[in-house]
Amino acid sequence: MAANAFLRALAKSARSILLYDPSNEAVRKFIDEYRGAALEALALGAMELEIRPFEILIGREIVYLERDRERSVAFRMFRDGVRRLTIAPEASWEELFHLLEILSIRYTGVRQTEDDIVTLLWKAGFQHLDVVAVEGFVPEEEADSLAVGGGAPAAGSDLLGMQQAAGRMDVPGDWDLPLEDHRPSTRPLVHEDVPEEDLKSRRDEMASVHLADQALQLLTESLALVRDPTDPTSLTDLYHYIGEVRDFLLSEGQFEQLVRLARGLRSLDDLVTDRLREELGRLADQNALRKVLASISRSATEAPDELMELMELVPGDHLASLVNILQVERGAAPRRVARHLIERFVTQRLDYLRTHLEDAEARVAGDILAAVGAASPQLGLQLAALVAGRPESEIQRRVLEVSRTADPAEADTASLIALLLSPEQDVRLLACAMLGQRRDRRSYRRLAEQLERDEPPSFEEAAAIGEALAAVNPRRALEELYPQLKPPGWWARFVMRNARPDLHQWAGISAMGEIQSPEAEDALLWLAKRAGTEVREHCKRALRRYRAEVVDDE
Amino acid sequence: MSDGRRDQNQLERTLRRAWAGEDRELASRVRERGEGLVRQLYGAVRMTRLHALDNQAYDKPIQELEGTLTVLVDLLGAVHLVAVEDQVYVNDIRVRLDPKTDLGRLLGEELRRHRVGGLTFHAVPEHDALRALVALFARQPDPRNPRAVLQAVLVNQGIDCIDLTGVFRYRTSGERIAAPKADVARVTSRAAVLVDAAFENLGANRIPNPLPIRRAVTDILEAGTGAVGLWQEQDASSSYSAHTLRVALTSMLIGRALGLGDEALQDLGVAAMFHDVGYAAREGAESLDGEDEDELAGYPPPFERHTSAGARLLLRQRGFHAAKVHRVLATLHHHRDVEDPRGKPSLFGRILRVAEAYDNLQRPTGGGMTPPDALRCLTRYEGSRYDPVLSQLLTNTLGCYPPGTLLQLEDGRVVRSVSVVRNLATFDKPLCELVRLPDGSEPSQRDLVDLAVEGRVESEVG
Repeated sequence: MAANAFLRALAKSARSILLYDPSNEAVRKFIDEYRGAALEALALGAMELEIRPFEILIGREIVYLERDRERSVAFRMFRDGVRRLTIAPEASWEELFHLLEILSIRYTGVRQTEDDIVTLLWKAGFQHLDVVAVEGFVPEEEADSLAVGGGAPAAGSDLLGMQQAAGRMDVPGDWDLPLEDHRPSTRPLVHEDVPEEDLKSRRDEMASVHLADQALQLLTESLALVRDPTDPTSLTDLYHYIGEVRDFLLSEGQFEQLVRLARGLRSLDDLVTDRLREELGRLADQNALRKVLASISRSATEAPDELMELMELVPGDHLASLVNILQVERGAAPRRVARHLIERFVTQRLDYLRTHLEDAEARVAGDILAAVGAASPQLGLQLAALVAGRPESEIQRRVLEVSRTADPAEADTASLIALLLSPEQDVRLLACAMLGQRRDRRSYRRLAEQLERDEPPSFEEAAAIGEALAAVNPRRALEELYPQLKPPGWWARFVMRNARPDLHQWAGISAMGEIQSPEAEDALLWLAKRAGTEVREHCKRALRRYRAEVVDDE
Repeated sequence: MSDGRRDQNQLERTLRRAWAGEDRELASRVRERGEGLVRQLYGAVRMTRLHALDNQAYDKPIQELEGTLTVLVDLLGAVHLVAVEDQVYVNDIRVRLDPKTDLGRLLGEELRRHRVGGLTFHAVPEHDALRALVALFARQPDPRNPRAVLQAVLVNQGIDCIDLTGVFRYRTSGERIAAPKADVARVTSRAAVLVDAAFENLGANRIPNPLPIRRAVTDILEAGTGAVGLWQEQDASSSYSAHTLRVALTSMLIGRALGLGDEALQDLGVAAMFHDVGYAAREGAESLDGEDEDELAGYPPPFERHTSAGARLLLRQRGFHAAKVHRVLATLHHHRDVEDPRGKPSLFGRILRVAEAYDNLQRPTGGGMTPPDALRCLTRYEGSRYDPVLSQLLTNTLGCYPPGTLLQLEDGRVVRSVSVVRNLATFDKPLCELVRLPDGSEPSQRDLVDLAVEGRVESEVG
């Protein structure tokens, strides 16, 4: 049972790659299950698995049976020539995981010209997994000699595709000749121990961390051959490899090398061909830029220098790529950096951005606006005016941001007024505050209307409206709001005593705190003596603000 | 990061690299065209039951078959179609067939009537030859030796570009289950055939296929790079493959002494097997219709350009793979000095530099030196031409009397060293084979003489 569970878990995990993206949570779950099942199975001792096309046996007992070839782990291994797999109880998780990796590669149908399952298993150098493999299929009639027409390849063997060539060789007889000058040393041949550090330094050259450099070195040297008039190597010989290196560097996040690749290709400007231009363009096309952005640190706020250089080196409509990326990319850091990159295009491509701003979904429009605002507050305000009326809070917040970074005197009143209709209170609060700073009298009426809207504002918002009204037009605010604090006529004043707070009155109190006039102070003092606790406290806060401002002014 | 997350990331990375290394274009084209080949071949054979062979209805299907074969031959060189049970493989790539049509089984049955399991097309047969092939499969099989008769008829009709292979089946469990410790003679002769074939295929502008070579290298490593048989005279089909095999063996010996892991050793062995493939390139070749092909076949690159020519040929392999990068760099660098002004050559390049020089110094048409002199020559130039560490490792591994060294013993016998250093104590006491008896006569059989046990060296025989 344990072996069966192990093999089922192995098959399921290896096959999960077909159904899910490798980063999917489900894949992790399957791997965990596989680990658990392996631990349980190996706790019972070694597993000597005999692989047959549809089943796997331990001794004479079938421990795995799957008739469906597409699902069967037995068939995958059998077809590739694996006939016996022995897993010792000491097998480490690393080894078991490596086995899973190899099978996953085969399940995904990858057929590498470099490796098959047998060479992959051999390469793995397992210490506690023993694999017996044979070639996949054999002639059924090995003794059936051909009376005529011999010389057919040894079918089913690795000689397929190779044997027919023998005997038609055309190797120059003088290959590698003449030799360099050479004379033997007179020193006797002796054994000398080689220090381990000398061995290690050489072995380290093969470490995978150097692969990107080595791939580039090969390309650089090949490009030098293209330049060599005595060598027939041409760019046509290298196009595929250029693409392969690019894809590798992108998938490994090796941007420094990617830039070096771009530099190398740019250095061929005098040899440029359409295909080379195409290959060069792909170094920073939408796919490439997205991959680069996706691998940037989560805390990054600016584009790395390499990326800036890459975009300079590589021709193409990078702005369009970046805008498209904003439409599909969800990560905060990539979007932040994309915005930062878009800033570079603001002055030359404002029309493009304007067009896309109007059509784009809220998040994209917000990002474009932020980028424009960061590059040029003035242009940001221009574009903010185009979208301030849109109802999406993402855009409204960006409009606020742009307005806030711009000189308050330049902020667009109409945009800010539009934000008063935002469904988000924090947006409306900020809009009020900024309208107050803007001191544009034209906004008074729209601010005052906020107190009358169907869905009444909160007291916090009423206070903000009051302050804004006072800032925008103090005289009118005093005139219109004074009666809210100290109404004319004794009956109204009587009614007001201990009354529950009222929105207009609340706004009026805030406004009076901002208006530096004895009338305002008088109204606040009058009401503070007569109102209930909440209103009294609000009045006191306004008075404190009023007095502080008077002192400041003095 | 949790273990589970780390494992998952690792798996994702592995798969990404595997996908990057795949020649998806080639595999998918072979699959696509392979499916067409199966369908068209089976369709044409079936049609013989409805129409006479000279019926015009055949023209189109045969033309389509011809077109498919043209593409496949262009892509692969020789095209090997193998039907095993209900599966069909084209050059080892399993063709995906619609299970509803059962085409794989049906074609297999048509072939098996004649005890044929597969066909190899070495070139694209002409239209009439394809018609003839189809007609042959449609006729009644010979009751005694159907495949041989079929092949004979093909040859008699002048169709020599098609070979018929026997019926295949999947191996069943228990059959040759234990892979025998690789038989040394078989390993070397197979590797030699593969080296020659790779050379020929690359010379014919085909895409490099390192997988068979990799399997051969694995066999050599399984046999042990120091195995006695490997260092005796190679049963190679050409001096080129013999040289290549010796360089590969020497390289792997150095790599092993360096402590390279199995994967790197295997990659090194494959790189060595391809290192001189540049000589297969043809410079100045042009294909002009109506001209004599021989005159336009071009010429091999001179020594100075065979490394870049080799790199060019090897770069035709599609897909990014670390082994490919190392292999092509090694091919480019294998004649560069360790102190080359262009920069230090790659590790594989430096290893090949030492290994190839060691062999070339011994070649009769090269340095003509004895193995010990060749080794001494390496030590003379270590540090300038050769990486001194690698050169010393080779000395430590091959010993005072490397394989192939003829030695005169004090008792008058002449022996030839056949082993590498087995341990430090045998540095100057190799295992040898008896070449001459003290009276100068040849022994009736080449007995082994272990100098660690008996016999003292008087001198090297030049």
